[in-house]
Amino acid sequence: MARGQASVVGMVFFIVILFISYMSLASIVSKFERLISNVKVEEVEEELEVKVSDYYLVTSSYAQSLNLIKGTHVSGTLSSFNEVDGDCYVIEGPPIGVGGMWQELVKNGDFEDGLTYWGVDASYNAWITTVEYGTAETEYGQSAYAHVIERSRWLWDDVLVTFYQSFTISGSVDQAQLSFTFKVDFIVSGAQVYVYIYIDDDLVNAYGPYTSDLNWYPVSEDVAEYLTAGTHTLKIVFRFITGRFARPDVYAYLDNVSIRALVQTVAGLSEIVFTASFSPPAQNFGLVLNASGYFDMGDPVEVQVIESNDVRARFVFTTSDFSFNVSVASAELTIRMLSVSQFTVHVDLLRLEVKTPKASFNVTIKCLSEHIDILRVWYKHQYVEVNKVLGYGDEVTVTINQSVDLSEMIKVVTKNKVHKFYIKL
Amino acid sequence: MSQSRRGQVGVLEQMLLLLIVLGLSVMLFLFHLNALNVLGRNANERFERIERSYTTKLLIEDIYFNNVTETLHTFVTNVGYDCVIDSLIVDGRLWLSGLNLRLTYMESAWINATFPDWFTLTKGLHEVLIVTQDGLKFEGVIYVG
Repeated sequence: MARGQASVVGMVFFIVILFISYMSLASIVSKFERLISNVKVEEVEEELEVKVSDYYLVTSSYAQSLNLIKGTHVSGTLSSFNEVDGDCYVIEGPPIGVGGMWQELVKNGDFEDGLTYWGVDASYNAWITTVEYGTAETEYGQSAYAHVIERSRWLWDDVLVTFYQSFTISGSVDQAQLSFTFKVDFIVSGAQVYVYIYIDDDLVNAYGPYTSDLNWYPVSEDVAEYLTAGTHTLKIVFRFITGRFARPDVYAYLDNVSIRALVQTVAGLSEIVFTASFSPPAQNFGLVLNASGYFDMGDPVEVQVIESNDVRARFVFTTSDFSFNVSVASAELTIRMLSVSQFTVHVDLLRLEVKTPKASFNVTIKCLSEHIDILRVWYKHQYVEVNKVLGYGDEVTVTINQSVDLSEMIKVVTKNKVHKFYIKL
Repeated sequence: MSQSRRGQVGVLEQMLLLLIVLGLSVMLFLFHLNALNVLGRNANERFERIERSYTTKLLIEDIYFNNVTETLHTFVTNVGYDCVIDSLIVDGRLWLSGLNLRLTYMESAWINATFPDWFTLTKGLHEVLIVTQDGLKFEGVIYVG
């Protein structure tokens, strides 16, 4: 009996041992699995430096237009700015003390900045007529327009659309010339169009009636008698008289409004101010203004380059020859020159150097790790094969046959990962 | 009962008990052996899978969506052991399957997925997954502007 009990105890002990060994093994395997799962292959540290070079061409853009605000034009044309020997654009500054100085009184007369500085009034019967106004693209770039459509076939309306601008004159005016151009386009005829010019409330002249299309019509009026020191308002009024039994649809356009006045001033400084416009390519990486020439002067001349009412650069020239380069952001620049005595400037060169994108550019990759195996360089979904192993400090340069676009990334593919870089010029 | 007869019963009893003990022991041993085999097989499969995940490596070098052809282009390079690309998943939706694209070491390929007319990738970020036959996923992100 005792032997039987011993066998049962032995069996139980055997089972317990088996169970413990099984559990231990299972636990070991499970732990090992977990350990393996948690093992992470350390990502190979790779450090690269990418530089972009040879991505632009320098082209020249000469002044396309010049607006002389202060000073008297002596000689030269726009082509004189093209660094032609012996041909300069010459501007004379006003004398110190009491003297006459030509000034442009109208701002944004070409409407290239929309209706900035301008006010518009429209008087019409909204039951009968629809009137629109604003600026629109024409042969002269942006032009102001008034658009009148009569909705009633039986009634008629007298529509007045007035474009006006106020200006201030600092002294008495010796001469003043008002000029502008206008045109009339009839989509549907049946109306009469008149143009009236007022300075303050004085009628300068009236044009019309026009009952059919009129191409750009130049207007030039001597307005010196209307201008005295103080503030005045120029009004250009388009009057549309729509006829009965018709539903006319008419556009009237206005552009190049200017009042050039010779204003008597008392000046402590002789000052020349002009605005130059350039037409650089729209896609560029920067503009540099180059200017050179010489002064006929008695005292040093200060030259300011003004961009959007901010003085971008200032130079003082004590010798007659001058030359300067300045980085600018805009293609519309104002140059201001001033001295304590009367002077004349002879501008030989006035141009913008423009960095335009090349059809290709170079990418230089420098290895800053122990070694890197470079496979390819991607740009705009196209790649260039490299397949080179670089050691620390080694460089490789590849040419991308596309022009640089700052919004696109350069991707350098190594055997371990894809490195992405934004282009910094 | 005589003395000898009692002795015979005792021996039988002992032998029966021994048989039971031996039978249970063998059964337990076989059960144990089977369990260990299953455990080993599972562990082996898992180790293999882990090994595959470390040795299979795809680089998604470039992804872009052509709005005109409504095609998603993905450029893939195999920088690990040979593998077979099976499917393409965009934003959790299976767009291509059964590709059976075998890439050997350092081999590259474009995978082009043309979407149906009623579906297009909207503006923004989208997740693109390349899935191998082993079930391994490689993620790329595309920005549709």
